[in-house]
Amino acid sequence: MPVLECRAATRSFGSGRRRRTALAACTFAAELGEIVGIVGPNGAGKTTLLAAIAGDVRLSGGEIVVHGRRAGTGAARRAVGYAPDPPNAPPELTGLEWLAYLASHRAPTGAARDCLVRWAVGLADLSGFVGRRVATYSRGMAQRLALGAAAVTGDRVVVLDETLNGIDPIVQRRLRGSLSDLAADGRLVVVASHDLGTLERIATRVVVLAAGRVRADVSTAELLGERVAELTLTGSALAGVSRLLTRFRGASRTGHGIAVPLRGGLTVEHVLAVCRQDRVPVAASRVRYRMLEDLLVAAVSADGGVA
Amino acid sequence: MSASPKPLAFRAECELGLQLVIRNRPVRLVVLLVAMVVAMAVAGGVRGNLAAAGRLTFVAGGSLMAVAASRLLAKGAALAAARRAAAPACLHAAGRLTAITVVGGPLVAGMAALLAGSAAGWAPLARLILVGWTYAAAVAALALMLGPIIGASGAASAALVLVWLGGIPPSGMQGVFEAWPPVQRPVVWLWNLLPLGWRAHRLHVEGEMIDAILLGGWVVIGVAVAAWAAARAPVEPARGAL
Repeated sequence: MPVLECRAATRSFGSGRRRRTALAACTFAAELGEIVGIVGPNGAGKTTLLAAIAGDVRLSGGEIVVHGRRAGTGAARRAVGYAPDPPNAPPELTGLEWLAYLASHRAPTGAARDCLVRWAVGLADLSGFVGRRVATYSRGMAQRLALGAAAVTGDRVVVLDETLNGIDPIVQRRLRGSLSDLAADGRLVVVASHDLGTLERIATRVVVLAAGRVRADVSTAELLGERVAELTLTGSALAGVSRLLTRFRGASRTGHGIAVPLRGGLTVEHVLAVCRQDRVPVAASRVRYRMLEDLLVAAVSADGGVA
Repeated sequence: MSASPKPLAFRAECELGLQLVIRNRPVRLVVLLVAMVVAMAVAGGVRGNLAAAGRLTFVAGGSLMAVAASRLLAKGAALAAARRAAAPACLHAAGRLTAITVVGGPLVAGMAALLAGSAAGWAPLARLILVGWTYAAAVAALALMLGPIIGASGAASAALVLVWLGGIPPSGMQGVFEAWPPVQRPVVWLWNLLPLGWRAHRLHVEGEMIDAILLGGWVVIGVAVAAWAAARAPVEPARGAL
C-alpha cells in the first residue's frame, strides 16, 4: 500500500490574469523503502509539490494522502520530515539545539531524544559543526542540518528539496549512503534536485514534472537498462539535425549532434542507415546507457518545447 | 515514536522561546534602553511616588515584552520551527509565552521594585509587582498573536504603539477623536477591550476585579489566537510563487 499518494494535486497562485498554476492534476504514488527523485525545469512545481506533501501549502484541488491521512493534518505532518530550500532553522540556535528541539516532539523520554539526536548527527555527518550557531553555517552545512532535522521528524516520509546541492562531493557520497539507509530502514525518501547524476545513483524511481504535471514516472533500473545512440555531426551536417529529430521518436539535440533512444528493436546500424539515406554525414557514433537527462529532455520537449 | 510526548515537548518550546528572545539583538537593545530609562527615572527622583512608578513600570515593561514576544511565533524561522515540530499549535504558543513570562516577569518585577523603592511599603510594592507581571504577560500574548499574522516587526510596532499610547484612558481617547465620530466609537471600544496601560494602572490603584479578569483573559486569548494563526499562516515556497 502506498505511503504517499498524490491524486490530481492542483495548486494555483494569484487570481485573474495573474493566476499561475504550479501544480496541475499531479498524480503519482510511492511506497515505503523507495527513494523517489523529482526532477523538472525551473518553475515545474517541484518545490510546491514537496511543500504540499509536508502540509505547508494548501491545495486548490485534488488531494495528497500521507500514511493514510490527508496532507496538512496533524497526523500527516507528524509522518513527514521536510527539508525546505532554503533551510529554515532558527539562526539563534546551534545545530544541536535545533535537533534537540525537534527530537523533543518525537521522543518519549530525554534519553530517547538524545539517542535520536546522536543518530541524526551521524546520519547527516554534522559532528564537525553541530555545536555552532546556525547563523554561522555555510549553505552546505545548513543543507546537512536540514537533512538531519528532516530525518528526526520524518517517521515515514523524508522530503528533501535540493538538499544535496551545494554539498562537497566527499560528504555528498556519505549522504547518499545515509539516504539509502533511511530507505532500507523502511521510510520513503522524496528528493527534488537538479543534480541528475546524484539522482541516477540513489533514486529507485524518478518522476519528471513539467508545468505542474507528471510527464514521466519510471524506475531508475528501467531507465538505465535502455540504450541511446549518440551521433556526432560536424560542419554542414549540423544543418541536418532538425530533419533527423523528426525521423526518430524521442530523439533530442545534444551539443554536437543528436541522441536517439534505441527502443522497439531500433539499432545504431538502423540509425546510421537513415543518416546515410538523408545524406547527413556522421563524424562519430557511440552507444551509451540512457541517462536521466535524456528522460528529462524528452519529457519536457514533449510538453511543447520547454527545453 | 509518533505520539507527541507533551512534557518534553512543552519544555522544548519553553527553551526555544528563551533562546529566540535572549539571543536576539533587538531584544537586547530594548533591555538596554529600558534599563537606561529606569536608571534615569530613579536618578530623577521617581522613587517613593507609587503611581508614577507604576506608570513607568507599565510602559517600560510593556515595551520590553512587546519587542521580545513579537518574534516568538513570527513568520520566518520561529513559525517554521512550529511547523516542522508538528505538535498542536497551542503547545507552541503556550510554551513560548511561558518562557517570555518567566524571563520577562522578574525583569518587570525588578523594575517595579527599583522604581517604587522600599519606602512605598511591602504590600503596595507586591501589588505593583503582581499587576506589572500580569500586564507584561497580557502584552506579550498580544504581540505573540500578532507575530504569525503580520510578522515580528509589525507585531512589535503595533504592540509598542499600544503600550505607549495605552496610558491614555478611554475618556481621553474620546476627547481626542471628538471631531471624528465614525472613528471615535471603534477607538473607544478598542481602548476598552485591549490590554492597555490605563487598565493596569486602574488595577494597581483601585484594584478593580474586571481589570484583572480582562488582562488575564488576554493571556488566554493571545495563546488561542496565536495557535490558530500559526496553524493557518501560509508557509509558501520561499523562492516565489512556483
